[in-house]
Amino acid sequence: MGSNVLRPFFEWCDSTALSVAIRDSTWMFAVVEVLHLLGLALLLGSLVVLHLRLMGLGMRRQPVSQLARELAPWIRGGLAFAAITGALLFLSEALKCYASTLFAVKMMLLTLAILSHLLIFPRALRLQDSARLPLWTKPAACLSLVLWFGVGLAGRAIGFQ
Amino acid sequence: MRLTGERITTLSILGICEWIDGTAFSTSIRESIWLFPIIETVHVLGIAASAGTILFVDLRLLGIGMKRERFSDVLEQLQPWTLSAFLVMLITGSLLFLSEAVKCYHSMFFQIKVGMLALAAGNALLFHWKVYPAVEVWDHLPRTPGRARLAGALSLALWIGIIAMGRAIAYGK
Repeated sequence: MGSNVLRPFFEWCDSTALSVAIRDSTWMFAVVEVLHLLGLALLLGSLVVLHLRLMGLGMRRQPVSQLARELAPWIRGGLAFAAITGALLFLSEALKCYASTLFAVKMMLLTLAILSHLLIFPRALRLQDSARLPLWTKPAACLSLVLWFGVGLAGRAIGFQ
Repeated sequence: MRLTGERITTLSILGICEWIDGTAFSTSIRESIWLFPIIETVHVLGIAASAGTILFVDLRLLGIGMKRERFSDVLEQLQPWTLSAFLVMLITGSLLFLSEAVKCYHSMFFQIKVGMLALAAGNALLFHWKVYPAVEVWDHLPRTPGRARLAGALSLALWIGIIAMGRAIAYGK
């Protein structure tokens, strides 16, 4: 983010025992990263199913509210799993993340994606009619899905930087 | 691509991989600053739509998720997305392979990944031929027959392995 106020926090993260342990281990970072990728599969996978329904492109035989209720634990679980593994990856290279514009972009996109989810999801839970979708669902779902994939895109790009 | 007698001495898999690596196509992906990362990013994000949709079919088979839906509803409505996303994965995956064929040849992880992909394909085909035709009997039941649960568990385990091995290829060896 460039603001120097945050630097001591990132430095502290970088110097924690957990951070040093992951950084010094030959296989721990790789293992955590694979777990983070599996978390992405779970989180984005469940979001793709929900958003396909909201866009009227898939699972149309199910009412939106019912599908949203069934997907909720998987979305929450996927987000928690990706966040925990992501936090470990971040700790292990906090100073690299501090210097990375892409990391800042990813965190901003993540914030926006979660905000959009908090706006969309409660409304999806209240949608009963399975045949007709209200006007807002398609553009909202489209934007939300772009934000979530943007998070993934920026995340992958951190590794290339 | 001129094949001269002195270059092609033995026709081995390694020889083919070396030839692939030497083509202008392979070199241009490998040496481009943008092409390889872009293809790889599409390949990684494609996991969401391919493995992500397979995941919910597997969870329904295992009776863990989507329990209130008919199995055929879950499978038939997600299948077109699974198949088109898989096609994207196959194309981008092939391009990544072509760009570093020799590295893949020597990679144990690549060999395991291809083996697991073949097993996952076999598992899916067996399920469609042997288990799915009798779906009416258990379509609405949260608890599916043993053979269906076995197919779901195998698919889930294999896809987790495929993703893990895919990531491991980039770490080398």
